[in-house]
Amino acid sequence: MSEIYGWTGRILKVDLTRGKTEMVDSLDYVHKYLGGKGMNHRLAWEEIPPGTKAFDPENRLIISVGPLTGTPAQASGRATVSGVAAQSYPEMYSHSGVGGWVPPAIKYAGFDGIIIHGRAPKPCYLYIEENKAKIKQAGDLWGLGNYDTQKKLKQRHGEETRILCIGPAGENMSRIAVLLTDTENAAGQGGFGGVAGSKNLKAICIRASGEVKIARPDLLLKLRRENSHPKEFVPIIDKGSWDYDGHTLNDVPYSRNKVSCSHSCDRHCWWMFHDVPRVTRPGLHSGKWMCIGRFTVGWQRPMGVNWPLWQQGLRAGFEITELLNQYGLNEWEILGGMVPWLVMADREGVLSREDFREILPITPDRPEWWVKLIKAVTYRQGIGDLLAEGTYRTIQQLGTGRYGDTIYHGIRKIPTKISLHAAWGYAGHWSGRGIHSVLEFPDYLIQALTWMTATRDPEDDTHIRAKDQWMNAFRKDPYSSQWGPRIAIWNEHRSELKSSLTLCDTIFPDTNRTDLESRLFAAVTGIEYTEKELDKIGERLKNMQRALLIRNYDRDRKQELAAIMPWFKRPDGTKGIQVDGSKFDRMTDEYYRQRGWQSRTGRPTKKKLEDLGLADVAGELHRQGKIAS
Amino acid sequence: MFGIVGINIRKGDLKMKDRIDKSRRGFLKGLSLGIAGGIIGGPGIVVSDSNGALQAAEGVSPRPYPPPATGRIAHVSLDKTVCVGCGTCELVCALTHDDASGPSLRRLWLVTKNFQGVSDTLLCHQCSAPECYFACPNEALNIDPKSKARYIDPDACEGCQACIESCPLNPPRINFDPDRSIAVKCDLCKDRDNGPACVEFCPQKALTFETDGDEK
Repeated sequence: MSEIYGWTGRILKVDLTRGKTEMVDSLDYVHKYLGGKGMNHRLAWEEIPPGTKAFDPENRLIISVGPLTGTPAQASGRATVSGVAAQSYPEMYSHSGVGGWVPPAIKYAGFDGIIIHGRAPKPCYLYIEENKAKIKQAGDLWGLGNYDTQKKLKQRHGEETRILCIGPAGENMSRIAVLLTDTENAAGQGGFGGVAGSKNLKAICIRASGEVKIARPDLLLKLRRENSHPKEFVPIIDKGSWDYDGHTLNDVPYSRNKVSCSHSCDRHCWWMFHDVPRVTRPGLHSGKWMCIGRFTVGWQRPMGVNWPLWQQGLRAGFEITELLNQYGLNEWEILGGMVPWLVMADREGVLSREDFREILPITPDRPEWWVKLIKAVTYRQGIGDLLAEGTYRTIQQLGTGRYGDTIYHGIRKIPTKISLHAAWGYAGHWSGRGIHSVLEFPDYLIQALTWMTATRDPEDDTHIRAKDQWMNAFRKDPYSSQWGPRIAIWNEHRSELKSSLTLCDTIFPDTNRTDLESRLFAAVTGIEYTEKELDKIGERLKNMQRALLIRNYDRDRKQELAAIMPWFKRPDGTKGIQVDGSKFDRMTDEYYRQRGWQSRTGRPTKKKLEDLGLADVAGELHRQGKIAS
Repeated sequence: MFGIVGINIRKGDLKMKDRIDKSRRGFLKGLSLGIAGGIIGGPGIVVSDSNGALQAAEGVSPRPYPPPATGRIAHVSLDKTVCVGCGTCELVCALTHDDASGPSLRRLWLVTKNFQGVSDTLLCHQCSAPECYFACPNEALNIDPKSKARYIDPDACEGCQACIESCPLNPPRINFDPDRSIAVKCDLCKDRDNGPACVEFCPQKALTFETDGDEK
C-alpha cells in the first residue's frame, strides 16, 4: 500500500455489550467523505437504521477526526461527535464538534474515527493506546464529576492522557449532558453525554504517541505563514476592568490572558483567568471562558437592549461555569435557554409553586440558587427530573399554551412575545429573536434557510460567513434574489467541509481566502482539489446527511417549514419585523432549485445524488419510495 | 530561578538526584555533580571520568569539550502565561524535521495544566557541558559547525537512549521515535534558512532564539 498522508486508514469499532473491539479500514470512507462530520453521515447511514432511539444500545456514538486534525494546519484540532441525539426533538441524527486535545490524540493513536455501540453490563471506560483499545471497569469513577474523573484517570494513566468523559448528568441520562475534555471544551449540543451514560460509558481515555504524515510540508508551512495571524508578543493583562456583553466589570482583581481552545490554533480567543479562589473545588485555580460560558457572570443585554437577566459577579460566575463543567451540563442550553426561560416565566408568574418548589424562588443573582438548580437538574430532583430533558421538552410537557409562546412581554424597547420552545429542540442561536437577537432583518433569513434542513440550533457549526458584496446584493432584495439561498448553500457546504477536514467552525471559512480549505487539504494529503471540487464534496456530504434524515425521519419541506416558521412569525427583537410566510416560501423554492432538490418535497432527485457519487444512496431511497424522480 | 552561564535553567527543571540515580555510567555522576557545583566549562576543560567506566567498556576516548552553542530556544518572558497553549511549536518542529507531526517527533514539549490554567514549553538548553554529547557511544550526537547546536545524526543513532538518560533536565529534552528507533532532539533547525521553526511560527511570539548576551 502506498503511503497514507493525513489519514491513518483505520476506524476503531467498539461493541460495549460484548466487550469487543475491532479495526476496520477507513480509506474507502475518507476518500469519499473526508472524515469528521462527513464520514459520520456515511457511517450513520450504514449503522443506524430507522427507528433507532437515542438511548437504545443500538445507537452509535461516532467520534471522527479529519485529514487535517493533528497537523500544523491552523485551528485543525477538532473532532465531530455524531449519533442519534438525545436533545434533538424529535430524537434524530445530529452532531456536535469538540476541540481541545482529544481530537489529535485520536489521530496519533492511529484512528480516523471511533464507533461505539451497545451497552456495557457495568460502568466502563474505553482506554486507547497505540492502535489498541481496551474496555476497562469504571465502577470507581461512576458518580464522579468531570474534573475528578479526569484527575483520577490521569493519575492512573499519566498526565499526558487525553480524556473525553461524562459527569453525573450524563450518567443520569440527561438530554442536556455533555462529553467534556479538560475544563471548558465539550461536545456540548445533542445530549451525547446522556447517550454515553446510556451505554454505561464513563470516559474515553487516549494515550498516543503515533504520527500523521504530511505530503507537502513546505506548502503547509507556506500557508501557515501567509494565513496565520502572528502577533507581537502580548503579555498577560493585569487585573482592572473586563468587558463582556457590552457590559464592564470594574476592578476585577484577577489577572487574565487569552488562550487557544484547541490544538494547532493560530488565534487565542478564549479568556483565561488566573488564581481565582474556588469554593466548590479548592484545587482549581483558573478557568477558560469563551462563547456562552462567561454569561454565568451576568447577562445584561440579552436582546441588545438593557434588560438584565441576572448579575452575580465574576467569582460566582466563575464557580458556576466550573460547576456546569464538573456536573457535565450543556452551558448553551442552561444559559441560552433554561435560565432565561425560568426568569421570564417567573416574572410572568406562571411557575406553579407545587411543580417548581425545588428551585423557587428564582434568584439567579445569587450563586446559591445556581448550585441548587444545577444539582436538581443533574440528579433529577423534583422539577429537575423534567428540566434534565431540556427546556424544549419541559415546555412541551408542561404545556406550550401557558409556558411556551407567551412567556415574555416585559420591559423592552419592543415588547414582543418570545418563546424558548424552538425548532429541533434547542435554545435559539443568533436567529434574530428573543434573547438571540444579535442579527437583524434581513440577515437572519439566511439562518432560517440553514436551520430548515438542520437538526440542531439555527447556526449549529455553520456560523454564516459572506463577502460584503454578497451580503449587499442579498440585502437589496432579500426574499427574491438568488443571493440568500446562494449564501446559505455556500455556508452549508463549507460547514460540512470544516467539520470534516477538520477546522475551527468559528474562524472558517475565511471569505478573504476562500481557497484555504482546498490548499490545506492538498498540503496535508497531497490530493489536489480545486476550491470548486472541494465544494462539490461539501455538497456530497450535505446530501448524504439529507438522505439519512429522509430515510430515517421522513424529513421534507412541509415538516421543516412547520418546525421553523412559528419562530420567524414572531416579531424580531430589534425592529419588530415578522418573516413573510409566502415570500419565504418562494425563497425556499429558490433554495431547492439551486440545490437540485424537488420543490414540492425538498428532497434530492435521483439525478442529483448520482451526480454526487451517491448512486447507492439514491437506490435505497428509491426502494423506499423516498426519492424525487 | 537559578542559572549557570550558558544554561538557562528554571526552578524545577533540574532534579539532579533523579538523574544521578538513573545514571548507568559512573562518570555521569562526576559530570553531573560538576555542573551542580557550578563548574563552568569551556573549550579545553577536560571532563573528568572518575572511574573510566565508559572508556574501559567501550574503548573510546573522551570527546573534546565542544564550543558553546550560539544560542538556544527560550521564552520571551519568564511568565508562563505568555504561552497560549496551542502546540504550534511542537507541530512545526516535527514537520520541519520529519515531514510528519506527532508526539514522538517533537523536539520541544508543550505542557498544559488545564486545571491550573498554565501552559508552558519545555525546551532543550543546548547545554555548554552537553551530557548527551558525552554519553552517546556512537558519536551520533554531534556539534553543528555553524550554530554549534548539539544535534543527533539520525543515520548514526542506534537508539540506545544513553543521551536521553544523561540529560540533566527533568523531564529529559530528548525524544525517542519508536518507529525508527532513534533519539531526536532540538538542533536549532540548523539546516533551515529561516532559523528555528518554533520561533518563526509561534502565534503568540512567545519563543525566541536567545544568545548569551540576551539572557534574562
